[in-house]
Amino acid sequence: MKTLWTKYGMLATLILLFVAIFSAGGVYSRYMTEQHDILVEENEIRKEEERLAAIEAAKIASFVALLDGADSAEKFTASAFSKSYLLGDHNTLFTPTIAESYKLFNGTEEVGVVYVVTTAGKNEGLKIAFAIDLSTDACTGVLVVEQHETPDYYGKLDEADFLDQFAALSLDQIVLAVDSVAGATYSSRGFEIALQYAREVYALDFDFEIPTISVTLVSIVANADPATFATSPFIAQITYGLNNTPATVYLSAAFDYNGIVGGGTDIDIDSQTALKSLASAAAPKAYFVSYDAGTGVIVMRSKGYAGMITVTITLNAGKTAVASFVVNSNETYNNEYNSGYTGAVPPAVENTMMNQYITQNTVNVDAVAGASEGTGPAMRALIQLLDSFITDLNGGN
Amino acid sequence: MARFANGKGPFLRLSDEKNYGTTVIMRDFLIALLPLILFAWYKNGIQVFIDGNITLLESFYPLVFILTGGILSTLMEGIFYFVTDKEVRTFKALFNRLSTSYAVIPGLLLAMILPLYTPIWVLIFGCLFATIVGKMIFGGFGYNIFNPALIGYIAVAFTLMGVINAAGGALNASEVVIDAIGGATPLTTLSSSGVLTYNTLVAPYGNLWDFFIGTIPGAIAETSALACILAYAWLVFRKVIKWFVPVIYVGTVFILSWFIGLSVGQTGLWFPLYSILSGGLMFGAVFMATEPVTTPRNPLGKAVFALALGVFTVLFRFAGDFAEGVATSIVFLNIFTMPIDKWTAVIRVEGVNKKTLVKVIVLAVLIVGVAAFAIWRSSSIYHVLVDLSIMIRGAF
Repeated sequence: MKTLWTKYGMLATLILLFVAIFSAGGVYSRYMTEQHDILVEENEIRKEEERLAAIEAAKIASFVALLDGADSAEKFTASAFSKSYLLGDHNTLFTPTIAESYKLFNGTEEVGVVYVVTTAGKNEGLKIAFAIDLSTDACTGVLVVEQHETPDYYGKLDEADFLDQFAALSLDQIVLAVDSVAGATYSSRGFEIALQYAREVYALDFDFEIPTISVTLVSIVANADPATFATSPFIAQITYGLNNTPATVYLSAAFDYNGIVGGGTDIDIDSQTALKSLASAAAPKAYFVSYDAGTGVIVMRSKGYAGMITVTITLNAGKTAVASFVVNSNETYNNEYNSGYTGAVPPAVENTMMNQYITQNTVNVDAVAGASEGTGPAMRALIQLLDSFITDLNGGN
Repeated sequence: MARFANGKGPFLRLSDEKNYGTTVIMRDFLIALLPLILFAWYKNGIQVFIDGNITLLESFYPLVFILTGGILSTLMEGIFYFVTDKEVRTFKALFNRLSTSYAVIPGLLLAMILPLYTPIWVLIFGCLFATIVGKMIFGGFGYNIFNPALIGYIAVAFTLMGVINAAGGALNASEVVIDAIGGATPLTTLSSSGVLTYNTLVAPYGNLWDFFIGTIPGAIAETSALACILAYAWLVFRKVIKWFVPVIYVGTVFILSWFIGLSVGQTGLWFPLYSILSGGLMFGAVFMATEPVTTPRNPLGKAVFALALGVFTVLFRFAGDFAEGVATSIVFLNIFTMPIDKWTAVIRVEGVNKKTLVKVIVLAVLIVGVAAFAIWRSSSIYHVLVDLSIMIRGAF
């Protein structure tokens, strides 16, 4: 044993020492590396948190800047509300959502609110922040947080200073609308519905009362009284006010309120405004423009495919039938909408239908060679109205 | 060191005296390393512990790592002796042998110039190269051609730098969380960015005073110029090294870096100062360029060697894959130690005359040529030449 130790003792000791260093040192250095990795990882997390905090702080600062007098903002949860709106294509329904909401403070006093609304313009993902002043119930500023609109179209909003409209826009109005920018109507509409939606949420969060439409449209017809139809081509039956007061009112060609039929107290201005939008959506196509009892010349209009079709009709001496007529229109025809269309030049369809009425003495004219989407129905409505007018002139015959 | 004896004989050889010779030299050498080791412990251990980024156990790691390097090279030398020399198979014989072979030095130096987070097995690999390949294969202390520690360092740098970086690299736990540093030492920043501005190279690490003190990222014990200067003063005072060798080496790097700075419009002295205060230049200049075995012995040879080191260090910093040019230039020039020693000995004795002129010219042309190439490689002088050619063409 002693010989063995003498022979290999030194080597064994050296190797043992070596193994000890290899093991213990390895554990120590591995431990160091693990601690280092943890530190680096924690540092990365800290940096990421700082980065996000900086972004949040910058966002809050930009929100605070939307309302004069505000100096801080605090996140809060807005009331849940769901409503769908028609997008700029007049076809798609879209339900905006609140992405974020912040209360704005001046010191400790709550002075305003910011709603970040997710809406849609031409494309989805349009996020707009609206600041609302609690004391005036007005939108004081707007900030586009995120957008994916077509750059060319979206650029038009800036050119037209579109966003300036939101700088002092009262929410206390029946029809909350903004002027859309030509060439960027989809984007404009995206802003409009976002603001309308924000107002609904604002009303829930802060006891704000949205002015409501106080008018119900019962019916609307073309005015057939030659004495008044020149200025008021439409007559509407409505109920309005808190008590649903019934009334029959005159409306202009642009559906502006023109007084009570038979005279009386005018309806309130809010009801007039509301009535205009209701009437424009429900009005008949055809109406009278003028009638000269001496010459028997009637001017009528009807809403066609491409604007108004104006027909000037001259009655015969006995005012029992149409003697002649002239059509003035901007209609265009094409095969897609006109089965049997032969390629005749406008106003061929209008003329054909008028001639059918005159020769066949029927109001149920069919739109041969021109059953257009817009032109046919417009002319049919005009002919029916004309026929009833001539019938009335002749004592019901 | 060697002295010519004047007067009449007989003469006593001082190196045979008890308190003289290599034993004392090596003792002084180890004393000189002390401030660097202590600073390394302070910078990478104590200070980081105070910063709260490591635990007490971790704060001892730099010290343990450096000492482990010394122990490892001693162990390897012992095992080598056991295998190759029948005489050295007992502890007594081994201690006798180790007392004159200074086995602790290569591992100690190697551990000092490695990154802090070098795994222990990589240190073992480096010590193996340093001790066995760099020293023992040539015959042990006094016979090695290359600086053993640098052989170990180059072996590790060529093969395992990726492993070291994956394990944590050079930055200590306080440095790694500083975003401005971005995980890079000053020289790796220069190497990777190639941008030569104060804000890129110095500002992220503080100022040039931090470079001087050594509180900048780098290998464990080589960052402090102050500690190196203390060691330098001690070694010069003890006549262990020639005072002019580190001065010429560092001075050459300073001047060449100044030219490089000037060629890109950096007229300030910050770039040459940055160049001499970053990386292991000071450490290499004091402890490796002066190594008695692997560098020329006559003073002129030492001076020429130091000059060439400065030139090649700058060249390798701008031309090589490594950000650091000190280790490669010293090992490279170790090859030429003997011819430089011989040529300069002749020149020193005979002066510049017809016989020695060729040698002088060859040495001068080589050094100036490499210096010019180094500046050109820094991609700076090229622009100067283009400007010059445009000026000349414009004149005609």
